[in-house]
Amino acid sequence: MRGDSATGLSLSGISHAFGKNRVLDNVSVDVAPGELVCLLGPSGCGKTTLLRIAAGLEPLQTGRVAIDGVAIAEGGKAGELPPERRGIGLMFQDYALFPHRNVRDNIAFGIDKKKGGRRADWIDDALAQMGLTNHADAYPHTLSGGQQQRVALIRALAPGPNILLLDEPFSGLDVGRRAQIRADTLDFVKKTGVAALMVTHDPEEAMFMADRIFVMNDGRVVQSGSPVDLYFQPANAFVAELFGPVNRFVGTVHDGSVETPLGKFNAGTLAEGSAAEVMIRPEAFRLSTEDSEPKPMPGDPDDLVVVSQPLEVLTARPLGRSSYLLLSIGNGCSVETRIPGAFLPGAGSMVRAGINPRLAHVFAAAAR
Amino acid sequence: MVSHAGSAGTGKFQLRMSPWAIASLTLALVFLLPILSVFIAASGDTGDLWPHLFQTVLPRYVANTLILMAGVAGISLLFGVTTAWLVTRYAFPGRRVLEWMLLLPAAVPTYLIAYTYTDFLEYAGPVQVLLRDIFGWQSAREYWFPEIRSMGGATLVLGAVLYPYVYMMARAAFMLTPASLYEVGMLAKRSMFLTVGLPLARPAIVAGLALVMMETISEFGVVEYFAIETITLGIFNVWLGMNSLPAAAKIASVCFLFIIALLAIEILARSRRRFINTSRKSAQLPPQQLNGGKALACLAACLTPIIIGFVVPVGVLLSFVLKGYSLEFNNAQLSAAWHSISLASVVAVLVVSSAAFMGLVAHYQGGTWLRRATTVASMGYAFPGTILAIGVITAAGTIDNGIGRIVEGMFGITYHGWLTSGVGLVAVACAIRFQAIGYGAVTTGLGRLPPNMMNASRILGRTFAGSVRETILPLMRLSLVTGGLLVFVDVMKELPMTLLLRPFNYETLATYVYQYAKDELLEQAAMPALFIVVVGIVPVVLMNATLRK
Repeated sequence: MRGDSATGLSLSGISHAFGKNRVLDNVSVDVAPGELVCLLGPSGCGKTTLLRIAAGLEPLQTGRVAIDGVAIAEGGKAGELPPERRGIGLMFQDYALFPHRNVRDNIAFGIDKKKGGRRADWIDDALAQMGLTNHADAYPHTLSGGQQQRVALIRALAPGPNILLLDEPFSGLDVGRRAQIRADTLDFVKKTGVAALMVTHDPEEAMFMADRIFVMNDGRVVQSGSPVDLYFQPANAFVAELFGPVNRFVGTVHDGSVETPLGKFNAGTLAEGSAAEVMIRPEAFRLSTEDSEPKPMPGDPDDLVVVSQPLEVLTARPLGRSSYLLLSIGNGCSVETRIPGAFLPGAGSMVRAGINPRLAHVFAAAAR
Repeated sequence: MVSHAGSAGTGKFQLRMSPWAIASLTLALVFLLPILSVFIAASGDTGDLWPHLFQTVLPRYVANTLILMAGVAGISLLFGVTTAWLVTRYAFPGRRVLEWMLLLPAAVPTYLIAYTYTDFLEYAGPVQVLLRDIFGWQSAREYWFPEIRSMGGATLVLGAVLYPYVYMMARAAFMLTPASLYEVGMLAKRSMFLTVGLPLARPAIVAGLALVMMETISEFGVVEYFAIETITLGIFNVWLGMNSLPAAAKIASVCFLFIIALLAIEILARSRRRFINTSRKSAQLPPQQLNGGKALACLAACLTPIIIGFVVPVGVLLSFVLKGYSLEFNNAQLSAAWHSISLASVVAVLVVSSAAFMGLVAHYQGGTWLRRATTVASMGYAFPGTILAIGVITAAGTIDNGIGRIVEGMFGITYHGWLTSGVGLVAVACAIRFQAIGYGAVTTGLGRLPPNMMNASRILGRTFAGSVRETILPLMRLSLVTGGLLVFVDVMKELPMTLLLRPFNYETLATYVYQYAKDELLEQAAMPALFIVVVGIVPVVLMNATLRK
């Protein structure tokens, strides 16, 4: 955590309640200039409320909001800066383009020439960069979702804010168009050098966009760090499950590791004899035919955890880029695996399995 | 996400009052003051008049009011629900035209239908003359003819002009019920009307009916002309006839019980209307084609209320004009028209601007309590004009007395009570009575705004006032103009408050027609009366446009 002397946006010790319903509990998030930070969490975790507090759309109850080290709102103190004087850009989930103004007027709406805002040529450049030059005089309802999204982004940045807030900026888009627009958006935001805080519930989106991710649950930050940190070193079961499906086993720590039907996994610092759970991602599996040894893939550690017995294939389905296999581990239990490429042995055939231990996470069972 | 209804602070008790909220609350109090003043007036000394009234006439007033309400409710349901179902579910020749013509009776003020029917059905009127010609009767003793100036007559004519409230609500509900639900009923071989249409439309119909009931309680023109002693007429007679404002106010407070019950019913029904999903556009069931006898029967069923509620009264007025009555414009008519138009314009602007101010502040800046206060302040529509008149004059009188005392005490000048002696009083009373129309328009406009307009505008550097001016009001323009137009027309038609509160010799078209009708000289005022009806058609067209959307 950086001090207040830092530049950028700093939210510290924010707590918030709607009536008796506590939605934020002592949350602190900071964003440096040029950095893009994602708030990631399920619906109702409080991430949008935090964004609205930063923007001044929700009155601050407890905590402190500061921009470049200067407090603009402090809980319990008068003089909270109204949204129009914060110099913060906000891109709304529904874009909130003004239907009675065309694209150019929408973008120009927030530009205050007296205060040295951007000029007409900036708008032209931005429109050209986003492929909207021919739509400058169009009204929002005539644009596609993707075009509206880009207009909203340009509009939010037009007044030249130092802080940009993005509320689920891609949720309204078709899945097919998302990847491209995501890349364009990231590029555009990074060029401006603003401190950007984005809210999303999509872990893949967060990993693609963010320099740092703050995972939120039930109004608290449960873990923060780089996308790679969070994916490979989730702090608890919640974070692990947020980033994708897992195969879950319970066991007891014995001699520093936990025994599962698939092999032993390092229990780290967990106490001897304590209950633990092991979460193994479907993509942790490396499979081979019954007569060969499973091999590590590029990026894997050298020593896989090798499953001692061969496993029976219950189902094998193609998913395009990868294959989905359901394997029996005996006693009526099964594990889900996901293998790159097309590996589709017939049902009933046997395969050998190894597991990348970096994608197998061990937590204290009480954490749930 | 936690739902934020586009506004700030839903905390349970936020005392962070913005200057906007304070101004809005003050305005709401001004609107509530006259309603509260009725109770102040009622606490005044009545001598032994009140006990006397209480024992002799009050039970009759209450009974008559209840009978009239029940009758009008029955007719409104019969006309409104059946016609709404027929034009929604069946296709027959003339359906498209009938669809909006069924709203036309709403353009005829109740007092006009009373005056014209009396003229139409009296001994020397066209109907009885025709009957005598056909059957060769010589005098009234030779045949029986129903008396229109009776409870039954009042019920019929009121029902005939008030049913459009029910019709409109029922039709919207029938149209919004998704086809899939009707199809379920159809597949189960059950009556679509009884098992699907009616149950789903019930809350809408009840809300429409509540409005009809409120209009019936408030009714003045018909009951006065037909001498049906309802509570409203009682208030009028006690105030003007016995010259006792406190006693009139006491009767008015009895009336409050009815009004509160109706308001509760209406609000409840309106909140339940949500159980039809109106947010998503669902497929409508195409109407079933009818031919021959069935089509004719539908046509007849839909034409009946139109003929009773519109064709006959307008026909009577038109025939006067065609016979050459009331054609020369005189100064009295022109000045009445000017008074009507200027008063209606002033009130329309007053209502729309105050409703917009209170509505926007409550929506964007207020907590729950400010929203409630604003809603309560727009409930004047539920109160009969006669009662509001009592309230307004009492409130104005109290303020005038206060000012008078201060002015006399400080400067020794005699103050003549400007508040109690001007047209302003009529304007204020109308603004309170029709505030709900403006507030409704503002709520509709706000509901149609895309989400986050205010937030986006503020984030982009505008203040609250700047955002309202540059973003919110331009987006709501259509709703506000529509609301203003509706208020304008209602003020043009208004009778009892203008009668009670106007300055000496101040005539509007409505009071002008009233005077002539009272002297049984309706033909002399046929032209102004027709003018009122024509203006009244404007909201009919608007209502129809809303329904078609």
